Amino acid sequence: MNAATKELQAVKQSPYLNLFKGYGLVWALFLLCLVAALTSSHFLQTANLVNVIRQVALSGIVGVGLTFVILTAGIDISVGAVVGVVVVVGATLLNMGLPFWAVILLGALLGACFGMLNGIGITFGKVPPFIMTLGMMVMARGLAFTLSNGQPVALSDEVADAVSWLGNGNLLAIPVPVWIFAAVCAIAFVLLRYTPYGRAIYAVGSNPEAARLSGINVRFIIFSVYLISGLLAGITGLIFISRLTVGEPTAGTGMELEAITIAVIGGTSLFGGEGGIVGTIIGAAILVVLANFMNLMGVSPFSQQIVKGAIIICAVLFEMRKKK
Amino acid sequence: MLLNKGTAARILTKSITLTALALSISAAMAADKIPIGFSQATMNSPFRVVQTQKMIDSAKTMPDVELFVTDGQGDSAKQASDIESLIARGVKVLTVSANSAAALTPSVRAAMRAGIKVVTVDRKVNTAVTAHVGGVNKPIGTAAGKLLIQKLGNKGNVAEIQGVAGASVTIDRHEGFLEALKGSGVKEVAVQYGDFQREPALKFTEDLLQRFKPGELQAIFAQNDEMALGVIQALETAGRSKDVLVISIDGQERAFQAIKAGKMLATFVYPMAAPEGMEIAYKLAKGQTVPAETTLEFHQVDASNVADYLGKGF
Repeated sequence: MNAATKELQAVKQSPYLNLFKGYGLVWALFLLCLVAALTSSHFLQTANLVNVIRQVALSGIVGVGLTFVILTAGIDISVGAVVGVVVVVGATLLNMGLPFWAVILLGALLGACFGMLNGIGITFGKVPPFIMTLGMMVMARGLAFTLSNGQPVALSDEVADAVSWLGNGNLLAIPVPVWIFAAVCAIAFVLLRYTPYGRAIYAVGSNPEAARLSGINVRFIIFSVYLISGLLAGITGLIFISRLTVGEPTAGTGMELEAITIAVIGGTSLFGGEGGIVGTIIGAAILVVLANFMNLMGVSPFSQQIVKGAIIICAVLFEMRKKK
Repeated sequence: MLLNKGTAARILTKSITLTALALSISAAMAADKIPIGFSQATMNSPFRVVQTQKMIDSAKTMPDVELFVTDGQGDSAKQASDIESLIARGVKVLTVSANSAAALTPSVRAAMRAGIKVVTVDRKVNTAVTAHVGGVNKPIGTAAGKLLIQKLGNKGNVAEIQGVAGASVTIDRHEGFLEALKGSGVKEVAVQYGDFQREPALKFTEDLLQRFKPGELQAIFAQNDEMALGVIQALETAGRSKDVLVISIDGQERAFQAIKAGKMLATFVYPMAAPEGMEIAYKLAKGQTVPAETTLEFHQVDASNVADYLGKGF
């Protein structure tokens, strides 16, 4: 019991260690922005910065969901496919005449359902997270193709105009998705840092056995993080429908890898128990600013892939060295 | 742990600075050029790679042009972001080959509204643009259908393997093909999306050959050569190359060779619109007017004239 309590105390400190880790990353981001601003006259232009924060928001929302999951030492590779199903279902419902607010609720609910299925399989079925979410990914993608007959579901013009504000609109000159991302991050930050629920997540990720012994409902915690991941994927899907005015069954392909990258670069350990939302936001920003910088400089798309892959490996390399 | 983190940050910043220095040198040299963007949908097929290279080569012959190429990696959302980036980059003309017509329409509309001239290359979007250049796909689909009807003696079953779902190219070729078959003795009995890729086409053909026993399937229409090559491979493995005709579109060198070897009935050389797209963009950048629609021709290539085309394919 003594050892378990000590573990918990050690774990309680890790959110503060993450803050420190965050500073190193903040420097990297700041320097990246500085270099970009100095070498390209277009980087600091309003249009470009608006693009950058919009892209951070678009990939960051799913990144936050993955952060919750990875904190428990789990993984969720079904998020991209869930986005695909939600855009197809959402676009179909919109074309059938459902009001947008209803579609938003249903879309979020659909995402959450997939998350819950993942959660149930992993907690009660004891299926390893990778396998469970892999199966869900394949099924969800298949469902997206089946429901849409393989064809994109295009919104009719009136509907497209009515819903365009979510993905393309601005509120006080800031894109709506950025507001959504900010809200998601704020809620997630408070949850993880200041609530027993958040502390329980870190505990489960660090040492599930110690967490269980100290009275934490490990099953519920793990179930809940997958629900959150699915829900956030659903919300991203809704933004996509509005942004592209079409529900493509291929939407979200590869998004899970991007989300994992964001979380890991941001300092969230794949082994669980370490990391946080601040890191995820910075991770997303680093990736987006890097891509934006390379685009502005006209670096060939192939080279960009190489650089991106190298950064991912380096980020995890340093994390591995830290573990020793 | 503190040491490692410091080292990590230092290495990261050093590498970023070095990269930036290298790029800033080239940036300085690129000043005062007309920025033109090319948003490519994907680079996952020879057609796309060659098309992009032709745009780049064409831009190289224009010393006052700086071409920015982005790759949408087959993802409409990424291509939409690419176009936004190009708009922010301040391109005067945007050339774009859209991954799917509907999904890229909002981005193209945004570009037009921002005062950027837009040239759609090969694939269209569902909104007005400054100019479009490309082949027309419906007539090609119809020509393919008519050729099959003729070769099959107006009787038989044909399967179609389509390209990327939602692309204007795919939709038009399909509609054109069906139009030719309407009222004839040739029926389309199976259809599937092959994404213009060899692997899915091969798999689908293997399944087709299981589904349709010898004598039940007379021909396969693949919407591009890359897929047709997969079809041929599956047919050869199953030993049914003799009783299934293969016809497709594009004009790949390998397709010409297959026609010469009697493995393929015909293909239609499809214009890439590549140097043309760049040339039209250049004219627009210089303030000249161009026709709203530039249609490029296609050519039928079969055993009778393949000798003229060998060596000229991509």
